[in-house]
Amino acid sequence: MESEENWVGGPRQLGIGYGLQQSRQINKTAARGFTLVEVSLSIVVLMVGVLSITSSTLRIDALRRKNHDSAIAHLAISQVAETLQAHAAKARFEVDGDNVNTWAESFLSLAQADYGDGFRVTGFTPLLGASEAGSVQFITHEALTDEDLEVLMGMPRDLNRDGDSSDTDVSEDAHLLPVIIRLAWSGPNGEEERVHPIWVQGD
Amino acid sequence: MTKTSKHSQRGSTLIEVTFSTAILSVLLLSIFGVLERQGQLGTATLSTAITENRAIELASRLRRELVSARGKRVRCVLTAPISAGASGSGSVLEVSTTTGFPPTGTLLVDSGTGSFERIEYASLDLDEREFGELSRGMGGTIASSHSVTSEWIWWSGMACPVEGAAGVDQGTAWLNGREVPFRGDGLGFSYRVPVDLDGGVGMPDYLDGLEPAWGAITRSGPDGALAPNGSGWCAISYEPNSEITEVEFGSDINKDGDESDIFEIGRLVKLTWDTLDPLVPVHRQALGPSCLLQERDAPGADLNGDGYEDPLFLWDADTRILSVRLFLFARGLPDQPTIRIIDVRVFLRNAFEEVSE
Repeated sequence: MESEENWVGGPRQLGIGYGLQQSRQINKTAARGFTLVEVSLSIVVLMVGVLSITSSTLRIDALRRKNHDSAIAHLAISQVAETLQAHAAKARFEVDGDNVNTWAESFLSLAQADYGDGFRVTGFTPLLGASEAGSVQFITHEALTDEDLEVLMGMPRDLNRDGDSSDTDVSEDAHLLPVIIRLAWSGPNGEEERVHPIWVQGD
Repeated sequence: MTKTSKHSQRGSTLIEVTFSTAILSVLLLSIFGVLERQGQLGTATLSTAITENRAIELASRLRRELVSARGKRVRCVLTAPISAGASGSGSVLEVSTTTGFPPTGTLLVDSGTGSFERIEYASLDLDEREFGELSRGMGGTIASSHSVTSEWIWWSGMACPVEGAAGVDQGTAWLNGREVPFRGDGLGFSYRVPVDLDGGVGMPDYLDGLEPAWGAITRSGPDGALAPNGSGWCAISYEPNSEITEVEFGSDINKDGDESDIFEIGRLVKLTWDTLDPLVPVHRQALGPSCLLQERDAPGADLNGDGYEDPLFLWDADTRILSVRLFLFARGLPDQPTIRIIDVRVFLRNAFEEVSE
C-alpha cells in the first residue's frame, strides 16, 4: 500500500518535513564528535608529517655541514700547499751560492718546522689517536710506488737526478720532492679524509 | 537503556568544548610553529651553503688571478716638504714615485710617529711623482706638516708586516700560529700580471725578450676597449655598498662585548689603470658578490673577538705569501646573522719588485 505521503506533490516528494528529519539526523551525527580511532589516526598522520619534515631538515643540515667541512678542508690543504711552495722558493733563494746546505735540506728544515707535527684546522676534530687533523708526509724514498703511497702522482721517480729511481733516502740531494698533505677528521657523517699530493721543485 | 541514549545525545558542555578547542589550538599552533621554524632553518641552511660556495668561488678566483702576479710594496718617500694647510684642488704631495698607487686612495704619512697622518688623494700626475687634490687629516688624524725624511709613505689599502711590536697606528694579526704586527688597513693589494703585448695573434706570448712582460689589461684599446698594456697596473680593493648594525640584529657580531657597532657589507673589486696616461679610464670589475664584512671606520679591525686585527689582505713580500681573510655575511635566520670565515693563502710565484720606490 502506497503511503499517502508518496503521491505526486506530496510531502515526501516536496521534501516537506523530511528536511527537518534529516537535519535532526545530521545534528545527531555532528554531536557524536570524533571517535578515539579517528583522532588517533589524525594525530599519527600529523606526527608522521612533522617527523618527516624534521628528518629532512636534519639531513639537509648534515649535508650542509659536510659541504662546509669539504670547503674548509679544501682551503686548509690549499694553504699548506701554498706555504710549502713558498718554502721551496725560499730554500732555492737560500742555497743560491751556499755550498753548505742543499735545497732539499733547506726545504725540509723549513717545512718540517711548520708542519712536522701536523697542522690544526679550526672546527675539525682529529680522529681517535691523532693529535692533529692534518698531516704532511715528505717522501724522501724515491723507490716508493703510487700503490705504496696510496696516491696517483707518478712514483717511483728519480728525485735526485742520479739516473736511477732506487735510492732510499734523498733528503740531502733531492731536486724534486713529492709531498702528501692529508686531512682526516670526525665529521657529522662519520670519518672523513682528504689526500692531496703535490710536487715541490728545487733548483 | 533510554537513559544511556539520552546521555549520549546530550552533547558536550561548554567547558568540554572550550578545553578541546584550547588543546586543538595549542596543537595546531605548535605544528605551525614547528613548520615555520623548519622553513627558516631550511632558508638559513641554504643561505649559508650559498655563501660558502660563493666564498670558495671567490677564493679560487683570487688564486687564479694572483698566482702568476707580481706584487709590490706600494710605498714611496717625500721629495718636498708639505705644510699642514696644503689641501683641496691644486694641492700636491711630491714623492719619489706613485707607481703602484691606485688612481685614488689614502696615504699613511709618518706612520709609527707622533705626526702620523692619513691623507686622501684624488689624482696622480703623468710623471708618477705627485699625488693631487689632497684631503688632509682623515680617519681621525690631524693635519700636520711633514718634512723630507727617509720614512716611507704607504698606500693605506695594503697591509705589510713590520719589524718589532706594532705601533699606535698599526695592528697585530694572528697568522699561521704566530703574531704578525702590520701596518696598513689591509683592504687591498697592488700587483701586475704577465700580459701578451702583441695582442691575440696566434698563441699567447707573455715574454718580452727573456723576461715576462708585466702590465695589466686596461681600457687603453680603441674606444676604451680592453687591451694588454705594459704600463698598466692592477689592484684589488674592498668596496662597501651597504650597512648593517648590531642593534638591528640584537647580536654582538664581532664578539667585542657590546651591541653598538656598525658594519659595512661590500665586495672585492679589481681596478686596472694606466700608470702613465691618466686619460685612460679606470677599469672596474667586481670579483664576487657583495657579502664581505668589515667594521665601519675601522678597516682591518678584529671581527671574531680573538683580540687580533683581521686585515682582508696581508702581503708578506719576503715570503711572497698573500694571506686573505674573508668574513662572509649571510642573512640566515631573521634574528641571527650567519658569518663564515674563509682563509686563503696565495704564494705569488713571481718575485715582487722593489723598483720604483
